[in-house]
Amino acid sequence: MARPSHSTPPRAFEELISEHLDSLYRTALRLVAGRSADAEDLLQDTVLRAFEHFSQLRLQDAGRSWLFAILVRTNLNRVRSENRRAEQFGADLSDRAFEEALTAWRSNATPEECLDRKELEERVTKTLDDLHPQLRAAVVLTDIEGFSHREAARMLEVPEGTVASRVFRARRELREALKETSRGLRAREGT
Amino acid sequence: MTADCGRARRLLWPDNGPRNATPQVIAAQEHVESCPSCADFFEEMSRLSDDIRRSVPQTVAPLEVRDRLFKEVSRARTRTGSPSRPNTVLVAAAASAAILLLIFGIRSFSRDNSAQQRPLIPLLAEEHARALGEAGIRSSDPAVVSRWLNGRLSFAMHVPVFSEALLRGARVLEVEKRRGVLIEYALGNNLISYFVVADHPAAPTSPVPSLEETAWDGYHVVSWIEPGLLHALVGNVSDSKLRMLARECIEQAGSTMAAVSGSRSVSTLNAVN
Repeated sequence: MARPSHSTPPRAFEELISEHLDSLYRTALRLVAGRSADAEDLLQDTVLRAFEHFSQLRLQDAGRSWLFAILVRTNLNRVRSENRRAEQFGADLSDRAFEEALTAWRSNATPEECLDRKELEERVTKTLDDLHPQLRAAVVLTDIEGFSHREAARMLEVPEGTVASRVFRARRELREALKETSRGLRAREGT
Repeated sequence: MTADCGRARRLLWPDNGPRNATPQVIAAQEHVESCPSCADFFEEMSRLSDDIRRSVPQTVAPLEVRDRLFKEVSRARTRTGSPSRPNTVLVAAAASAAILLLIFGIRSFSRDNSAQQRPLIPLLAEEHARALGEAGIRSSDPAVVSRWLNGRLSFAMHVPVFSEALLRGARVLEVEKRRGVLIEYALGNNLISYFVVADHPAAPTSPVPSLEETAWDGYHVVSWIEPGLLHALVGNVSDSKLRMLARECIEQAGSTMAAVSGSRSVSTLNAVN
């Protein structure tokens, strides 16, 4: 029976994938705006690409961010090749524009104070799915998967400040969308 | 609100994490301490981030997706060979499922040495392993797992509670047309898979099952047989640790069986009626 070398347990790759499969799938699903067939394709491309380059992973502890980096870059390549929604994203904010946007922020009731739990989940998911892929990737990696801005910047191959401004813009859009829903709910309850 | 707010917020974004104490950062921190608007901003940002994280469904990869992926990896491995790198510490349930197939392989091949000359057999056998389209369950509560298994298996079984390993969940398998269950445990940083598969032809010759130790692909396997069932514990831990867990399994199953034959009311048994 064919058996690979004893010095390198051949199932190590499967172990790594299995450990992170759920979060990779969840992130893939978010990156492709909830389309499960696309998420499965993206995940498969990611896993096979990771398999090909597994020997490049030197640090065991870096496995998670390494896999996520492949996932994100594979997705970005797909998005770039499809060139979808490029016209809606525009450029990343300059430092000055980012500061102006930060200054313009007005505190508000948080979404959870306005919406019930189920409504909140549906709205957050829908709003995330509607975000531009660049903003969505930033907020999914940082707010949902818990990577630091620095780690996300490495994965997305952009400066840390760019990640910050994308996360801010994503949160701003999210809050606006939720505010609209909250107004709609209140109007519905009033009628 | 002053023009400094935007600068302070940008310099201190995100709100947690160390920074170099440059004059600008110090000035920004001083500004935020005396600016209620900026304090509100950082607090609201933090809450928004929490809301986003908690509001996203904790979806798990469907079994069919999981199996398809590992099948693709298996095909890629056949084409290109094994990627080489140091071993990681966690044992994959899916990898363990393949190992169980190999256990079957070892047992059946031992009756036919010529089969050992056919390296593709395990891979072909792997093609037979597929999920039954039912999602697994994630729970550390043996009663919850047991209830979930109820009706999904054709045999009665006990969900063991180990002193050192924490229950993580279970899923149903089909291996060579035999239905079985995989129960996952976490033992420190290691995953342990406990398989029970129905209709194994061999039967024990003594009332106390004998433990058989095997190593395959870097994993340790301890297996034992009882009438109609093959049990196997698989993990990247020592044989002695697996043997200890196996003995706990056997003892608990024995005491549960004894109780059931007296009262017929133990909730941790499950069988298709």
